[in-house]
Amino acid sequence: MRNRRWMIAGLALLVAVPLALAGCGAKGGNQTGGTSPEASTASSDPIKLTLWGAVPSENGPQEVVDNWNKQNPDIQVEYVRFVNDDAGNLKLDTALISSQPVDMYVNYDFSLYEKRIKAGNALDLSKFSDYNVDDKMGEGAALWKVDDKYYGLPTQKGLSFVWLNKDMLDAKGLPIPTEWGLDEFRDYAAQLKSDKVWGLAQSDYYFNVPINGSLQKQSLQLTKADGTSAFDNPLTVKTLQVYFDMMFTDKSLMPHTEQITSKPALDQMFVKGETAMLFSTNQIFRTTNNVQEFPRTFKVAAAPAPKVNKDQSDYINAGGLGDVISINPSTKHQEAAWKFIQWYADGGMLPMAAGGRVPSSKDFPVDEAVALMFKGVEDTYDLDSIKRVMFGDLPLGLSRLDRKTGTEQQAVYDKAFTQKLTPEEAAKELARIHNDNLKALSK
Amino acid sequence: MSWMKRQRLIGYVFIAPNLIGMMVFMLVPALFSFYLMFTDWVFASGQSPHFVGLDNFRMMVRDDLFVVSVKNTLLVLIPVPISIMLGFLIAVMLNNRTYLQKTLRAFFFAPYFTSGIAIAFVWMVLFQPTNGPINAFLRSIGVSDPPLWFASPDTAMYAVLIMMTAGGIGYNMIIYLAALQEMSSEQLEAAKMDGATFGQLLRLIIFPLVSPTTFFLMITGFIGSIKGFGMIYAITQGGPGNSTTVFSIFAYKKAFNFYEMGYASAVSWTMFLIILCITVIQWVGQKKWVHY
Repeated sequence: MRNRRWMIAGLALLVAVPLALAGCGAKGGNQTGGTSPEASTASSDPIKLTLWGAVPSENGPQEVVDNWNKQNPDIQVEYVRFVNDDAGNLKLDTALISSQPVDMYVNYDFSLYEKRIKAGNALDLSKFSDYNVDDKMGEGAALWKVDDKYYGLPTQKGLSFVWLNKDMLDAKGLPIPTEWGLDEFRDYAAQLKSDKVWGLAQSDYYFNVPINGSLQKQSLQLTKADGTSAFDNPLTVKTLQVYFDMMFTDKSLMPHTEQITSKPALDQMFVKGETAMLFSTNQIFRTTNNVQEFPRTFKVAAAPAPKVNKDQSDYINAGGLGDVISINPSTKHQEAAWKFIQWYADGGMLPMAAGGRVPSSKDFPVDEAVALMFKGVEDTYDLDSIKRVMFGDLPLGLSRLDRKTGTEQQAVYDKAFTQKLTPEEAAKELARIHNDNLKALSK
Repeated sequence: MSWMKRQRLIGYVFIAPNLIGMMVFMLVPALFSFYLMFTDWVFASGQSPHFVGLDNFRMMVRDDLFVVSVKNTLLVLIPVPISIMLGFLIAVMLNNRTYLQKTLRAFFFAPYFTSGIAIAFVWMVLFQPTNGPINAFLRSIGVSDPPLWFASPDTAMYAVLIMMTAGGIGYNMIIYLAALQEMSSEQLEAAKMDGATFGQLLRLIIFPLVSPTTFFLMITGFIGSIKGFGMIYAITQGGPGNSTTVFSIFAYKKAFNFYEMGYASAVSWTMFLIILCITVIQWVGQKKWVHY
């Protein structure tokens, strides 16, 4: 057993050393390299905690920790940013296994969250009995339970929805949709496009939002009752066909492969009026609220993510609770970290609202968050539609599709939108990849 | 301590910084990955490696994407001889007194001292299907449906090959220029007096005289192409539809996207063996055409 531990530590060190020396390190340090009880704070030195998150510090996190540090001179928190992509998550995972200073970290993806739990890098929060997560955060929180336990606290409602240029809709006499399917979505895009304006832009590989949303009700793993992949179904085929038609028949959507190789800044396309609709997440607030750097003359409205069919009753809206903060079990200051996380969830995260983060705790002063979210820019939004989408009661979901399947399926979307595969063939290929990985995971 | 021993010690002290760096960053990770390729170790999983023998290699030959990456890696070897040939011809031209000689040398060499990622993004703009200057030119000369370049699985690899060919010319040219300037002019003068044409001079005199340089460029060019990663990854990440996935991108994704370190190590060592084989073949073959 002892040899095995040494072996794991040695292997981790061998991978971690070059990465750490290459600039992955962070300042400070609180780890002991192993689980230890809450350290005595007999000395007068304040406890130092490090929180790793993916939001740029100037978009709220720095103000959050500054507020905390003022109120809690005995527990000082430092914020370290990692980019929420493959390289950034690798940096965080390396830091976690190599005892770099990570006391708390934010998870944005279930698959990685689960992996960190299995690796022993997330503390079981059931040891803290002073906070009822289900009661505070509502039923969407339970989607983050693993083996019926919380290993992190979900702190915000992370939604995908459609951003609308309301002035362009008004010019065409189109109402703000409150419920729609892909046919209506396509029709809006076709009507709104013009010579220099795309009808729609959307985040890379967002085709999976309606596809996955149609499968989540039967299984969060997107499988059928027999445990095999559910991807090969008529709704998947329809989604691929509609997007294909938008790209190549209507020309209302930039061809997918052109987008992923040209890498346009979609948020800037939207505020510059180069696209009438943008299918993305609340992170676009960072740009739409920044009217000094990105001035715009039009009003922004919002519509929910389209279902595949408008009358679909089993559709789960893309998004759920997110920004799940976990505690590194090897921190010396688990109680202090837990104290910070509770404070953050119940009110401390208020400065994050300006960046569009909607707190999920029922104890959070929602009116204050809304006021801050639109402070100084109220007139540039259609607030009714924004509030309806962001603070409505749409059913929340959380896909538990494994990360490898999601990544490998991207190649299928590439082929479907370059006519290498028909929608029917692509649906089968999505299922094949999923089934292969399900088999590998079950071994 | 004897004078000899002291001299040796001083020598070791001088090479120590580089040697330690190489051991920490290259030798130790390489040996570690040699061990890992026989295991199923998944990074950051909390699990220790289990010995799986040759399972990773069995998995590799059954992996469709590995086969695609082998084909693509063989394709990226094509730009090496082409860029060597073009570099040689340009060097010959610029070795003579020509108008704007120094400016042209700097112009051709510029890509070599510019960041590879910056160059990649320039190519991305040049090949942009809708508004890029290459397709604008093709449309202006009557090509109604120009290629999508990086945006299509059918043409992405061609765009990569063009980019790699152009990227290699400058470096090859500068190395050839150095070789040409070292070359004795007596043989050229003698051949000219015997009535050799420019083509004969190139083929029968100049090219054999610079053959050690050509051999050096072939060896380093093939190794660099097989290891090539940054520029392709910056533009396509191996897509669209895996059409530009080469060995190094395949190994990188396995290691750092999916954390499958055992499998990724097996792929990396396979890449090493292929490089070794190609280099050995070149060493053996050079006896027939390289003149020292």
